[in-house]
Amino acid sequence: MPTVNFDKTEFISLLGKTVDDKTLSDRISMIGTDLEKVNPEIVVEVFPDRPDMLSIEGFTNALKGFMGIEKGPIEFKVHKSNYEGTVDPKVKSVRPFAVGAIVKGINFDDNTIRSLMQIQEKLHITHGRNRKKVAIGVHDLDTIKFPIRYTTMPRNFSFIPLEFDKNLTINEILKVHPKGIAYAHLLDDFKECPIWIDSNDNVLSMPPIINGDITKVTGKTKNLFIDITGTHRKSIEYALNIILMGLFIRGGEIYSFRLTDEGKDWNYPDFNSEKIELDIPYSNKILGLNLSENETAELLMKMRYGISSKSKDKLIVEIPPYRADILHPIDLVEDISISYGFENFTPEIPDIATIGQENPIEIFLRKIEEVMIGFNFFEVKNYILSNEDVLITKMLDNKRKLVKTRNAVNTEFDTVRCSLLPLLIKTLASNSHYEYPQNLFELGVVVPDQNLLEKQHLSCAICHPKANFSEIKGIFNGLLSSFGLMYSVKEEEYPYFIQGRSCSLEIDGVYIGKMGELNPEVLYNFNLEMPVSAFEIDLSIIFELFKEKI
Amino acid sequence: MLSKQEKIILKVLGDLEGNSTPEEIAKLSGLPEVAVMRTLLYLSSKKLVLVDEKAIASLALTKEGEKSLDEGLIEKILIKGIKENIPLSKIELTEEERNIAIGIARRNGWISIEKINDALSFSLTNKGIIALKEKTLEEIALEDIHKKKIVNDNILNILIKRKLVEKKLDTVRKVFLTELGKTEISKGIEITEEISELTPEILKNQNWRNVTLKRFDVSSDVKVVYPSRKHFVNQAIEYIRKIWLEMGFREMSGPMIDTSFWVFDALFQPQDHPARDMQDTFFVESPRFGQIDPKLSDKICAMHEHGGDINSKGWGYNWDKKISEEYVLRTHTTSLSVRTLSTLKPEDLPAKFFSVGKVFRNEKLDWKHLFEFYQTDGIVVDEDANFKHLLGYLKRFLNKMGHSKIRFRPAYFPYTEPSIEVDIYNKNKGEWVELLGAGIFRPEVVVPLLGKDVPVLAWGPGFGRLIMEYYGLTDIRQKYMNDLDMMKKLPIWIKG
Repeated sequence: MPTVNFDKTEFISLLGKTVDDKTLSDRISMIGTDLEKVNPEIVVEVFPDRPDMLSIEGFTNALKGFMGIEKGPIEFKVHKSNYEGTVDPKVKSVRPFAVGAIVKGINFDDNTIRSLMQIQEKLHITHGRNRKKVAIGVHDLDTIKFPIRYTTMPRNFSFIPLEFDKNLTINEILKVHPKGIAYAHLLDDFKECPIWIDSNDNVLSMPPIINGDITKVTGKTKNLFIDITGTHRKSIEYALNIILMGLFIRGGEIYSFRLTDEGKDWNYPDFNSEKIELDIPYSNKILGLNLSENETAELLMKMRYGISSKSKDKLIVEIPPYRADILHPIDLVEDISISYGFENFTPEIPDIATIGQENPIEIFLRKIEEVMIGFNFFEVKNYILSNEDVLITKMLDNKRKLVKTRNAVNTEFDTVRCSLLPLLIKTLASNSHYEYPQNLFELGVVVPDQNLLEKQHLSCAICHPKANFSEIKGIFNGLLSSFGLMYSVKEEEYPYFIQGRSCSLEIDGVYIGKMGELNPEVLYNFNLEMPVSAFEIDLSIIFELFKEKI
Repeated sequence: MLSKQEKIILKVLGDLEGNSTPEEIAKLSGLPEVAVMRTLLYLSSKKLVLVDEKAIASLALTKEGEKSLDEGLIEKILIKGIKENIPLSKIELTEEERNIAIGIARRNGWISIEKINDALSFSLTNKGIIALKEKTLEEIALEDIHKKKIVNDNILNILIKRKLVEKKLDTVRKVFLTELGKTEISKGIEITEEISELTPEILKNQNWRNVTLKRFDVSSDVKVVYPSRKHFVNQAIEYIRKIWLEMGFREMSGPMIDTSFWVFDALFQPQDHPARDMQDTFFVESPRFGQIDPKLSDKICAMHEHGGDINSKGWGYNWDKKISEEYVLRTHTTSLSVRTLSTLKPEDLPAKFFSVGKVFRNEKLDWKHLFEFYQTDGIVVDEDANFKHLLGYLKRFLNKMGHSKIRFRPAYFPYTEPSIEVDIYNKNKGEWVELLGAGIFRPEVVVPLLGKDVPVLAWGPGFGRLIMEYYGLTDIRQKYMNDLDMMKKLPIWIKG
């Protein structure tokens, strides 16, 4: 989640009301953002569904409604104009969508510049998925000769990029310019790259990498052209509206920009509010409230919605053009609950009768646990992720196909365990400085192979100077007899057990696991100088025999 | 009951008319002095004897002092050597002793030093010659101290400074019988054999009738024996399970390795959502893809792309089935909640379910972060459920977990609306701390799985912090370090 920092003096001035810190921190928390602090500056984490609150203007706009300072939507005004542009069909296979807008009469003081840069950066990272989905360029309008074109250019095409004083080809920019290096991967797949270019053949920008130097915004800039490109039309439209909201609140005058694209004329910005019908009984049912249409409308206006019509059971709600998160009337219901105040709901427990019930396997596992503790075995728990060296190599086990992850940050833990025994040996090795005997067991999920079947295993190990096969067999025998079960053994060799001192275990002719004295070579590999005998069994088979009785 | 040694000592004391010293008792009883002392302590705690202790200061020669007494003081050895014209280096003194001796001899005016041809030449003065014949004050004092005679304080201080003499504190003990002790003796003391272990043989031959079993010091330290037990994390899990069961929830289970479909797509998480990035989620190398019921997959696709057949806009992008088929290690157990929803029939409602299970996040392991940990999830599927009920369940659940002061705050999760963050108040820090996320599943989640829009209340608390706080752990890795010594010494989980 993106963290934004707001200057407190400016925040209060935009809010238009002096508020003490306690109220401020309470209200900011209850509007639906994670407040970090209010002093000396305001630091909040804005949830990803509210990109409009990433700017100080957007944030205070929302808070003004929530705190009852203002209500209803912002009345945007757009002046008609003749600014025009076209979108070349060539861009459709590269970076298909573009929008633009004109803002005049900006007083570029430090606050405005800082705010514009912050919202641009935050939108790039979050809403824009690191410029992949949305990229924004801001230009000095008065350096541009309209009409302009959004097109593509070959990689040897050159222009002066921002922060440079000479022409560079597109390829050079992608190799040497800091922004080129950072975002070159977004253009890797394309022969030609997207370019905004004006009627004097001056380059405005090469989205999503860098602007041209010629349209650079300076201290003297009064009028702006904003270009936004991306892979998703709705997303770039929201980004444009969010930026324009901030500039409008700062006193900027917005002029229309006509863009010809896909054989149609698009007029930007599009501030026409989308309308959603809200069924009031639906909202009341979800919230457990009994609000009238007037009360509901008031709560929505506090959240800066417009209400275009009201009837007993229905509201037609106007969605502010910068709200990207309203997909369904349920999103309005949430805003009603926030507006109403979470602290004003009375928690209730409904009177419905349901019966609690555990999974039988969990009950069975607990019984096994009890019996093992009765043997005075200590229970340990290892991570489900381990690595091939522990699971296979050190165990001298035959190579087999383990379930590995593709991208583990911790390479020591990149493989799902196929067995518990190696982890028990590893645990014993790490405890070798403590007194013996050390008799351990672990119960848990393993994934033996790439069939991805998840099995519940039990492994037990005895470790002391005289640990041997007879002792572990006695314990295994005792465990099974606690469940009234008979078993049989079959001589069987395993690389990790001593030859002639290991066997497979069966119940009614079905294989359930293995038992033996650990091969000294394995103990050496784990750096353990104490004899170990152990068994490991698949509990799911035994569980099947008991399922009905649990 | 008196022990054999106590009886012996009382007897000796009685013979000496109740007045002796530990040394004397040891000599007469034949018991080692240490045993006598220990036994006297027992007897005095029973008020049978009185041990009177006095510390007495005395003077004693040190090792050097003894040597000086035998061989003479070093300054005397020096001038003797000079008189006999023995080269300095041949005189039997260490270099350090020689230097000290030269200093003393010069100060006493016993020797004169001249420089001849760049070498120092030593010769005795008249005073030195006389000194050789007489005993110095120091020598006389050393002899006196040896004979325990009193010496002049000035000389004594010099000798102490020269580390030839030291002051010692000696404890002198006297032992007396008390009236109670005398009475005990007058009753007659019979000394019987004492043994320390009762053996099956002694029981068999009834010899226990003829012997006394030795008294044990019950207050002495012994080796602690720790019980075997469930892993401490499992003890906490059992408690969490109990909370759900008491509230009438039924357990659900399902795979740990699951397709992205159940972990993300069915929860209406768009495919470009940052949580699905490689750096947060473990993807399986092989097999890479699993299978998804095509009918369900079509419904989820429609929901993501345009909101299906409910009045939702959806996310408005092209949903890729292949991406949803990718296997991942589940990042939350909410995947089990949606899997469960997909199996419910109308007649199963209302229904309440819970799960407890491991979840995985591809994070660097450090004292604060684990790449796998337990999560628990609960859902209430009920036509009449509402937001107030969600708050009610949360409140009761958290009360059972031991949190009384809680706060509900708006939050965001892609699959719930409204979404809630629950904070608990940390008294020690004086601040609210995030504990869990909750909400009502969006219609976009519920409708494709259940076939209709029924409110589904959902919450998923982590309980890692609860475990850390309960056991006083400071490093999260301690949970799975399996340090047997640490685990043995942890207290048992008592909440229930």
